[in-house]
Amino acid sequence: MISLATVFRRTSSVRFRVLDDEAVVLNQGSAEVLVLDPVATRILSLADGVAPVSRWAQVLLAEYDVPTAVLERDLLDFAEELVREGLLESVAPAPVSEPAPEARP
Amino acid sequence: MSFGERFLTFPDLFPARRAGEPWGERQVSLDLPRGPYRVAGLSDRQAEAAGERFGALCREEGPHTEAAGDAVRGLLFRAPASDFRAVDTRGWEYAMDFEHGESSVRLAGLHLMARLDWAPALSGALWTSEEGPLFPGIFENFLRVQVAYRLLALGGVVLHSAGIAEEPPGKGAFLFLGPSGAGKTTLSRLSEACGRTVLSDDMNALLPGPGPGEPPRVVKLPFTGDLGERREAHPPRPLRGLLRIEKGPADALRPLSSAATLALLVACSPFVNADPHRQDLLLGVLSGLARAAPARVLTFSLAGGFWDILTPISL
Repeated sequence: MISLATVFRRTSSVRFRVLDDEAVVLNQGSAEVLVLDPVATRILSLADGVAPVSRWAQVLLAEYDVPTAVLERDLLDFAEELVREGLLESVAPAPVSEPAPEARP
Repeated sequence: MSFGERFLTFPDLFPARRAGEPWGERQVSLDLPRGPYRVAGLSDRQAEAAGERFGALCREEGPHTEAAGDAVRGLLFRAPASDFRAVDTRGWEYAMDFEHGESSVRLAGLHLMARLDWAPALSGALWTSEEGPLFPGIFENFLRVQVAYRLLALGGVVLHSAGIAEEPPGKGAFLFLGPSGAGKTTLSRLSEACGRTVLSDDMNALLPGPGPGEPPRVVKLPFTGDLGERREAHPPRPLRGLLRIEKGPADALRPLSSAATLALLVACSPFVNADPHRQDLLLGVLSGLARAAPARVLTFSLAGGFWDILTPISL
């Protein structure tokens, strides 16, 4: 299930090259070539395996004049589409460390 | 279906190295871009067929001629006919099978097995059961792949394209690209009818310009479809225009972005664009060419008037 907390990275089979704000994406598996527009290129570049989708939203809200809820919905839809295309994969979230037990007197 | 199953009786027995029984002692040298390409082990019939196919581009060499250090080497070996499956090719578009590795590429096709190895220089080997009428086509298919890999390693590319030149050669050449059925041969016929030279309606080479700021060079390859001769040497020509073609009711030009140009070039780079070990290199080479030669989209009509809007173009 994709959410704003999901972290994505580009799959290792994807080759990605940016020319004049647009990206060419070559999927090794299918040898398929895609051209992404500047917005999609920006989003794909944010999929660094570290930042969750909520962080993408923060970055893009600073760049585009769009309501937060609309942007977040569009980002989730786009991420889902890129996963279907084999361009993105979700990264397992880092395990949450439990707080250390309090020392007993 | 795993590698080679469509064409080979025993795909598991694919030769693991460049060894076997040569067909004969003849050796030819082919004058192809970034060559020469020297192939040894041909029988008398095969050497003569290669000479017939490639004309002045194919030179006979003595059996013991040492290949120059920068030559691309090839060896030809005999394979029994029973190694190859009978394939019904009616209504079928031929595509060879490939298996890509970091230091080798294996390919299988109609009556052929071949491999390319880098150790570190590129060399090739071809196994076939044929020396008769089928041999020239088999030999050419092997050469097409070898040239594609050779050029990529040297910053160039083989492109599925129609190459059309204006004379004299210094006036340059246009490359028209598009998927199968886009109209490359139709456009070539229309161009020939109005006095242009068709280099090839199937595959042409694009190499970096000879100096900084100079346009890439179009080099004719003897790999043609229906149009373009394959037996004469031609000088490299400066690229005048790179055009993605589509048929339409009226002739028109529109710009194509750098990224769309790169995507077009990748899609039209046969053999190497499906090699996962060389896709980074391919993207690097083609990015440079896309920046040096921005493309346009040409909508052309069957009236043949599109040259009126192309002639003023220069990079």
